[in-house]
Amino acid sequence: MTASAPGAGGAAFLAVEGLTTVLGAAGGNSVVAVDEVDLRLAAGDTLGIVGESGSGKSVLVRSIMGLLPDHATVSGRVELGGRDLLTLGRKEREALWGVEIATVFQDPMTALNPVRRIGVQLTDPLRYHLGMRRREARTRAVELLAMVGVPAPTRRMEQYPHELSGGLRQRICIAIALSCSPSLLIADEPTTALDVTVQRQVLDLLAELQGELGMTMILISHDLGVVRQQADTIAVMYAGRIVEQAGADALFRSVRHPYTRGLLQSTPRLEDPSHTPLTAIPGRPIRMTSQRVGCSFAPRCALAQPVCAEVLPPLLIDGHDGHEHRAECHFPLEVEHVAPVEPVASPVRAPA
Amino acid sequence: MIDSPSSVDALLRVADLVVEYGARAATVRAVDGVSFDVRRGETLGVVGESGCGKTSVAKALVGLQRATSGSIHVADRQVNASPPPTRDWLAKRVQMIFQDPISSLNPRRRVRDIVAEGLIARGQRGDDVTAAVERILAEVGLDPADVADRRPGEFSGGQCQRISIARALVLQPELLVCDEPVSALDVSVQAQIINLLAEMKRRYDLTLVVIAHDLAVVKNMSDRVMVMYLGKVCELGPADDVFARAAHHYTALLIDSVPEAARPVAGDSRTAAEMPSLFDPPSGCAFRTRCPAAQPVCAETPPPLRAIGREHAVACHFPATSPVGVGRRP
Repeated sequence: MTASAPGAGGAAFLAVEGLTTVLGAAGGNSVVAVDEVDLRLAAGDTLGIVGESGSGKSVLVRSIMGLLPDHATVSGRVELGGRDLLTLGRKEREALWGVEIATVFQDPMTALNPVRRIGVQLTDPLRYHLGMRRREARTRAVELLAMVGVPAPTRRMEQYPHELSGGLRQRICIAIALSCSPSLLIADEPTTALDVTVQRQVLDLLAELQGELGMTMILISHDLGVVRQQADTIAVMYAGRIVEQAGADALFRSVRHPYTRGLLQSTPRLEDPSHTPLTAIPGRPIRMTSQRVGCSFAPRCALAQPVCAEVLPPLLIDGHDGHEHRAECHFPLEVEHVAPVEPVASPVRAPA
Repeated sequence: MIDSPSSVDALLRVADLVVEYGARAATVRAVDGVSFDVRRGETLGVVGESGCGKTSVAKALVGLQRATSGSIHVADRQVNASPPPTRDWLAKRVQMIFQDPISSLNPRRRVRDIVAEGLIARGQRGDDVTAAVERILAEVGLDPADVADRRPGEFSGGQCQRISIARALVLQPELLVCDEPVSALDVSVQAQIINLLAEMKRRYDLTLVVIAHDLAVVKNMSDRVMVMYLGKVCELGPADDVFARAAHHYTALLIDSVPEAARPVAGDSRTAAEMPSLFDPPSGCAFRTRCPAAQPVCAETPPPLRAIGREHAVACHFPATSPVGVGRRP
């Protein structure tokens, strides 16, 4: 795959090519958690990755960071700002964490150390990575807390995580992530554990800080709505592969992959009247296997033909709005399909 | 309390329900004077954020949490009276399904035994039980021959939720309380369970109380919606009305906060401050500290729930939408 991926306006800040991650002990059961993934992300842009549990989205970003257990085998290329990350030694890679690449995780309670004060957790990276002295680091930490909208920042420095609400904890995680001015921020389901009004605040905060600091961002979510609001380009993952990828508006205006459409049709929408029938996707997300034959989504796909189970689907590329639209499908949906899309089949009732 | 046609044929009547947790010095009032009816065959959705009291209401309905005061009537019988109705009487009428389908099933028991337990507790034995279990498993979309002798750990979240629904419905209850029935499931599986509950509701003439934090899920499943904030009811009305013409500023904030694939979010999130603590709730209207329309009176007098339309009621001194007849019964 030599064509550039969506979002490739100019030189890509992050370029991922043929990234494949196999998890599992040699000789034992292994799974291909990430399968031949290509991504290109321009500096300052946001890439949204959408997928269900087990689709490989978290393993994908951990592969980019080099944050995987020893039994993982990663191949392909990951270039960040012109540097090949996969060839780095362990020391060099660790030096990137928190400085070049920072992460915000789903659950702020487990991401923070429960027995250490907020202030210590904030000043640690400043002192370790930036070599600040204690007093300087404290001043900067209070500034960071104010920047992420934490009220009474000086008082928070002395508090423990359990004394704070979920929204405040996530703001603190964001402050820690941003403390060393990373160029790439990876937010892995940053608002999934939060209430909807707090989610909104945290997403707005991330967007605002990204603009101010000129960060590039990867936002992972199972929620198409969250990704739609934040991302410039969106990649939809299923069973370790990116099955569809396009500019955010284009993806929703002209859905190509039956899985993406299935996700949209099975999600209740606020603007629909109550009791609007939903078209569920039958079955459940598949487990990743070591051998991929045909399209992974075929067993759940209403449009599947015999060929889908036997032959790998082709990659279709066309473009609009300056972004490429890619989909891997034998029978892609019509090109100018305006959302909301019409159901193609009556709901199939099958065990989840 | 609002008089509405729903009072006529109400299966469930809740009046001035209060649920408190904790000891004297540190008491939290999780549910603070909540009143509502659910008529037979209706689905009432209860929506609100963490700490609003929606799960405490659900637990009180099924007797898992003692009501501090107030009354809960099911089929004209007070279930929190003393002496309470027998466990069997209540189990025949009210059942519940829970948020986390996997942890709400005993991992060491076979599906057959999990589903049969209620029937056996009721004194049924033998082929009747087996037949009832197999029939209900088939109805929730599982193959009895395949699943009955397996254990919960062998199933996905969606399948476990089907087993939970089977366990609840095998007793043929009239009222099914669903606490976050789909929030732990994958997006593609949520719709299967929502559709299944709708189908079971038709087939068994069920009355549903659906508790969820996801507004779109609640709207899709419900006839009427009750919005709660810090233990109180903010707004209660037909689902389509509440979402199309939100009268309470909290309802409007919730709706504006939902990111959807089809539309951009509205409003400014910075007006939305943190939710106050239940240990120290604001005086007057609980929402006033976050409300864009708050006036001095809001800090002094808690707004009563009053009708603003047919079956549509709001607890706000300055509702966002005020059709004709504000403050008067329709």
